[in-house]
Amino acid sequence: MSAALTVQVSAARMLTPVVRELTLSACDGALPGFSPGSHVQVHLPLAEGKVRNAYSLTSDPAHTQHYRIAVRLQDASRGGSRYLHRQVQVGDTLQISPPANLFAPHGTARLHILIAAGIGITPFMAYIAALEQQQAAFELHYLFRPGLSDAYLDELQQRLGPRLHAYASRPDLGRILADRPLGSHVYTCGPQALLDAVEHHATRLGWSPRHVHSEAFKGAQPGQPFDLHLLRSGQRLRVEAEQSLLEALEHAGLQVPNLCRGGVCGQCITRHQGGAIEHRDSFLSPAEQAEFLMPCVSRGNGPCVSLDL
Amino acid sequence: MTPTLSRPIVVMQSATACPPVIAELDQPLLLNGDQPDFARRLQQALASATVGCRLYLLGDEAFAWRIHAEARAAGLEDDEISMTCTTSGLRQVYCAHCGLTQAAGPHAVLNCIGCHVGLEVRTHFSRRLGAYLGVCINPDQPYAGFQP
Amino acid sequence: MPLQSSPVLSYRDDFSFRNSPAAIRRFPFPFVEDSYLYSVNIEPATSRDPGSIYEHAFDIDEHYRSEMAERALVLDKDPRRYLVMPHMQVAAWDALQMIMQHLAADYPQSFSLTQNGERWQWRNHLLDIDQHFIFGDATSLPCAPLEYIGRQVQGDFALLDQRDGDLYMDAGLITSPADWSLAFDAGMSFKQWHAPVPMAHQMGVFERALKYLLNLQVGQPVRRLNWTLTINPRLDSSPETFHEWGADRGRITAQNVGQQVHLRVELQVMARLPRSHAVMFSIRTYLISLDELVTQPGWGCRLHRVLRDLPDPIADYKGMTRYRSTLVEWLSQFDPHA
Repeated sequence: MSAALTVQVSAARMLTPVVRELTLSACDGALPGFSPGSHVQVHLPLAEGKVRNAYSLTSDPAHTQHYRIAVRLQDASRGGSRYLHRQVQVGDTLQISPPANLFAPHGTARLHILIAAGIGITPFMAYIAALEQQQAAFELHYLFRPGLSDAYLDELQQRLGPRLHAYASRPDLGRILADRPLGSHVYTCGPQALLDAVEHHATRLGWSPRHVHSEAFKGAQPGQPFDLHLLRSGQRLRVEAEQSLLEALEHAGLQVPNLCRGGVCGQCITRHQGGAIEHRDSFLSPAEQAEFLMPCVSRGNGPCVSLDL
Repeated sequence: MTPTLSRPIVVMQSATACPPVIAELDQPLLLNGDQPDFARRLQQALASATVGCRLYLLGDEAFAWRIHAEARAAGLEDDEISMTCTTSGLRQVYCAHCGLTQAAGPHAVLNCIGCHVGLEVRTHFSRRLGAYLGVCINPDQPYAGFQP
Repeated sequence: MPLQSSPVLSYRDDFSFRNSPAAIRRFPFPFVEDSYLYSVNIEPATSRDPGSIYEHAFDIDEHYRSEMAERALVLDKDPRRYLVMPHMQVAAWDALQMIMQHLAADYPQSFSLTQNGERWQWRNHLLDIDQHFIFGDATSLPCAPLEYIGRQVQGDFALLDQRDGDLYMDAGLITSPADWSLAFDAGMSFKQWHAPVPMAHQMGVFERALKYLLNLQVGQPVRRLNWTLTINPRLDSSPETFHEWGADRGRITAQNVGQQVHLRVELQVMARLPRSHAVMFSIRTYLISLDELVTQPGWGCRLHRVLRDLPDPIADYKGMTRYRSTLVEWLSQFDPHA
């Protein structure tokens, strides 16, 4: 795993009453290049301990003097977005992980159909910059609550013209997916329910699953505190309510491979050997969950969990 | 009712009895290589096909992979095309030396019709070219098999 | 470190190629044990051992001019050795940027790069090149970006598109392959282009390697060594020209073994390209004659044991069947236990 980058918040603006955009500039050296769809993990020093949240880079990959992220204030959360909205000021520094990409555009697509809901617009801002430069065919379907979760709407209307389809309520997904030219790919970013609906209509219309891509906006959710017993080292740790299991391990100095922080990529897979588990991931099969868990989102359901670490 | 433009397309090398899998398709467009205007009809079918379309190819390897390439050029991807190859018939071989892709029988050797090098037909197969790799079988006498 | 200005030596016809004593000492002898078996054997490509081939991301050595002349000969004769599919343009520019930035940083006396927004200036003092161009605009360069930079850096390059949970060989500049064809392999997936390799598939080597490569991160390249044998210092040992050089394998005698048989080692580096998300697979080839090789303590002995005990399918795949016994017999003189 690579070392964290130190960045400075060089600008901040509210895109909507609940969405704040932060511009992050390099503190030393240049920022690494990134591909559209990439995200960074922002390290958040909350009272309960260090927490990491993943945010898509919205800026143009062609210009890496700075990165941009857009953060939606979440009420029922662990406080990460509250911290980025209320505590962080222009001039502050932040630690972030270098960009990683789990949601890159498909190289041989002939038409990219982008479907975004609310803050799910963020990865597509980088997509659009890159696709325009490559003169690739694309269209954007943007579902939002006007005045609340319609970040970047003005800019998109100006840049995209008829390629932008804006909706204040869920559109007819069947119509969006029907009669599309061969080589079309569809990408969805937003709540799980939307992803599931797109997948349902795509399957019904005969889309090959390899042409249907999605990124869910899932992150760690709070839960009951519990104890951890690390069988190999003998260490005993405490996972607090607002902390994920992974964050507790990192806080104790353990290095666990990880990328998405949202239970989808499989990197942080860890063997468990005792204690009830509440699985919250989208990666493991039920059979695998009997043996393994994803510590970035899953938690103990009882007083203690034993891990093969 | 299946929208017309994403209906399955079946392409047969020649008119034969329909295999069971074809009989189960929903209103497929049937094309066969013996039809006089086959090339034009195939080109039109591919040009107007939309997502959801599946292509079924029946024929020998040389025929099936040629159509596969045409379908790929029209935008269909590997997992939207299925193929049933007859065991007898022609296959394609790519000559590494001159770059010519040529039809060939099942034999493990052949003379390249482009550069006349005697080739060993290997098992390595390129889906993009629809052809097996052919490399000089006897570098001590590369043109030994050639009779002008 | 200033690069020696050596005369241009040839990798064909009269085969005037030779290694200096320094080149022999820094040669990457790949065997750490007395026997060879496949493994994923990948390690992080971090800089180590100053002066070695591992110090810099792209190693430039005394053979630079010779190799660039050879590359030009191959490309001019056979354009099929270079291919960039339309969707790989961004990856090609990524590769140009990565190579130029590293060469300018690591060999400042030979290369320099000035970037002014999209207006770049590249200077290559070894080949007398001074090029102003617009990054991203192929019309501002004499030829397309991968070919342009490829003609100025040692090693072959394949650019792999990452999609559908796999890697596809959709671009490359390959003028010194160890018997594989870019023109044939273009468009293949990772397992497809490795299909001819014997034994490794059953061992799950490619499953593990692919998984590892799919997870490559920007700024964290990895590397491994690959090896085979070549008769004469022939860089272009391609299937395309096999009908010209294949017969050399049948002409090895006890008298000419040391001079003609060469150990061929590839330093393979895999790096994530930042803007395209593609993987750059670079293959840097080092050649050494057996006469040169046995001057290094222990190398003759170890090579004897490796080649003597190599499983037949692997030996056949590496093309040494016709001369293997002559070679092993000759090498036995360097093995005290033979």
